[in-house]
Amino acid sequence: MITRRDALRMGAGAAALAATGCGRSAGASTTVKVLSHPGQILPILTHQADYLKKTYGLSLRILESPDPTSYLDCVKDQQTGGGRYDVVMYYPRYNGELAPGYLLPLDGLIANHQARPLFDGIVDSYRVLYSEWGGKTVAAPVDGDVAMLYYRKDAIENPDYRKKFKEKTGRELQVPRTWEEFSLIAEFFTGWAWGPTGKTGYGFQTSTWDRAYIEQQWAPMMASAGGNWFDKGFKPGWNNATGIRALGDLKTLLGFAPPGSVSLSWNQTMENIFAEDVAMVLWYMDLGRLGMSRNSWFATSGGPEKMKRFGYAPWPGYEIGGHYRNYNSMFYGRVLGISRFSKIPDAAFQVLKTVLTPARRILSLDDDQSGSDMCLKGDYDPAVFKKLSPPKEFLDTARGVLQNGFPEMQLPGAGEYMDALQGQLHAYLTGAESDPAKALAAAADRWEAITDRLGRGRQAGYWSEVSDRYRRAGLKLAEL
Amino acid sequence: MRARTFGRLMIAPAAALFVTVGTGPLLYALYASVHSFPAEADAPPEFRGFGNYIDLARDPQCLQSLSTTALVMVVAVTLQLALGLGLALALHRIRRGRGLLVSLLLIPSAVAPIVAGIVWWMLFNPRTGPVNALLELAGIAPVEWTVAMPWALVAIVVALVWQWTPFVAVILLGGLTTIPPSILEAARLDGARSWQLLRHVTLPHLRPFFLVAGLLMIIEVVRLYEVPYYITQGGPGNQTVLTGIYLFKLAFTFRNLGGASALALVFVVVLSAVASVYVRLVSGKPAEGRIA
Repeated sequence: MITRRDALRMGAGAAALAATGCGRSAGASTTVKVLSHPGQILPILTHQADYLKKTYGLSLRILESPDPTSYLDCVKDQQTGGGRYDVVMYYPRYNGELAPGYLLPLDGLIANHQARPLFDGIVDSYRVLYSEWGGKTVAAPVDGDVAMLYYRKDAIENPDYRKKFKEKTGRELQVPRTWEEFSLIAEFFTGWAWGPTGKTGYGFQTSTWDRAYIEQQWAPMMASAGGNWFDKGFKPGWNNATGIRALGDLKTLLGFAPPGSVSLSWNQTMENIFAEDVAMVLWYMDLGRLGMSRNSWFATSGGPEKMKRFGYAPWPGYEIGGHYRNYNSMFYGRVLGISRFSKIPDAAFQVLKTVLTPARRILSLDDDQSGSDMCLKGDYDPAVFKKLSPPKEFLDTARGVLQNGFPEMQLPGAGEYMDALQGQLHAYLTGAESDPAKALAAAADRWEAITDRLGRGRQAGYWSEVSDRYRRAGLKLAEL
Repeated sequence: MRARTFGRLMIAPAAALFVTVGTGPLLYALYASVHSFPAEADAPPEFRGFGNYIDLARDPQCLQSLSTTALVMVVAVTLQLALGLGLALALHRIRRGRGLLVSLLLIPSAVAPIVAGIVWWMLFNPRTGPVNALLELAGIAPVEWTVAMPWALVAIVVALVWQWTPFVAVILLGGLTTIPPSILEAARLDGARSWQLLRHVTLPHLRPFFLVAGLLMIIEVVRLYEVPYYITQGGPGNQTVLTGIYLFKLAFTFRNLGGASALALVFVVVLSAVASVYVRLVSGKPAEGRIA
């Protein structure tokens, strides 16, 4: 039943749309300027272009810019008085820098356009962790990246290997629950031909070892070991046994990856896991969503056939003092926000609304050339996919791992904090630094310097708000 | 109109342009170097005196980038000048088709730095690159070129030498063509051998050309960004973060405009000192053509 309040809201929304031309028929000429990441991310928008034109008379002018220049483009737009973009795409790590001063709080538009159900349709983790800042909604997630464990069933579930593993380690060979088990299994499958390629097999590979992204592998392990980005005194919460343990374990695991892995980036690790027999792989959603497709970027590496050998599970964790924690990397999703300088905020919001509408959203999700992954609650239903055929087991696991998704750190200065960390993690993993404690201590020193320069009190205040959102999202991170 | 006034009027547009695009940014850099710029998009700059300079002096990453840049500069520029001289001498002997050869040799220096970076990253790729494939053919174990020291620095220097040595050679070739044949002939008549000709006639004449080529190469190396960044991303760890990369990161990744401006100004001073030492070393009065 429509209440009077609902009727008033609908009236206000209709008035707003009419005022900006959104309600006009085809032929009207409102152009919405959208800053977008390029390549495989474009389908998020291009699938909606004709629809927005026909239905609302909105033309999309997509201005492409890759990371990190897209973030810089937002800053430049802000510093030059705005007007270049109406809608902007960025990594949520920049929420803390863009929300104050550049992004338009969306709550008023959500109310006027009666879009609350659409925002409620976003998976809670993404909505709470990535779309809010300072108690306001500032963005809409459009690409939900979270990593999971892809394991080779022909390795882990092989009865002969289970027997052999038991004889060697005294343990059962099964999907690992802890990093200790993971390491034992990775070691077991390294150095002998156990798979169909007939080549020497390996135990482990991750999505990238790039210096610029390496923290996505280490940070969830650190959190699982009982660390956090910051402690209560606003000191780095990982410059301790938790961070050292995670880094040491990661280096050990690197020894069970194919030779030369430390210099591999995204595309190369992908080719690596299909060309070699690798028992366990930590990768993002694209692999499971697109892997079976004969037209995706995984197809040339033999994805459709080889993906059938994979099973799905959450990342392992650490069991410390009877307390078990495990987290999965939630780095590199993308969100859309609206510039507060936009002269057509209602039209810009219509773009966000359209992208969040399940019937429209599925077009980019169910596209073998799209890198947009699940982020709406309805995205995990196998029935919504018409072209792609991600297995139900995969979709269920993808939804499950989000309960323990470990998010990007979003304070102002996030880019610099991460660079400081990446440099030292990479130094240890490549052997440029031999002591993990020294590597982390050096990174911590730089974090302290960054914090002092940006204002310790101000940063601590932001962290308090971010931590509160972690709690609201159900993340049970250690509070040091 | 008096000639002096007319002259001033004529140079006024150029002077205005220089003040606008040269002095303006310099003044802004001075202003920025004594302010901090909070990370939030809407926060105004805050005055912090010499704080940015003090931070740089305490920043191990900054000091490391300066020393790494100095090392790359010394090695790369030395190799570029030495190999460039050899190439120029070889080209000088060629009479037919030299113009075509020179045009072909200049191609690397016309390649966009980002393209050069991508090409060398592919060549040095430890798993798929042809450099390691050649090493394997020769029975040498593959090298982790992009993530291990000192190989990451070697890869960067090789890329720089490849890209700019022909350009140096062309500058020096221009110098070789200005040496009057009569001087060389006279030296030969006095019994000078090839090495003595090079040492006492050719090299002294090439001093101003070495000066130009060397200064251009020093400037090229210190403003390096694309080639080393694409090959190593600054790794392993931070060991190949040259000053150009660090400056870019400070300004555009960290949005620390104050620190970046301070570093840029410090670097101008350091670079001026390096350049003046180089000029003093190279541009001394040409030695007399004394022949033993």
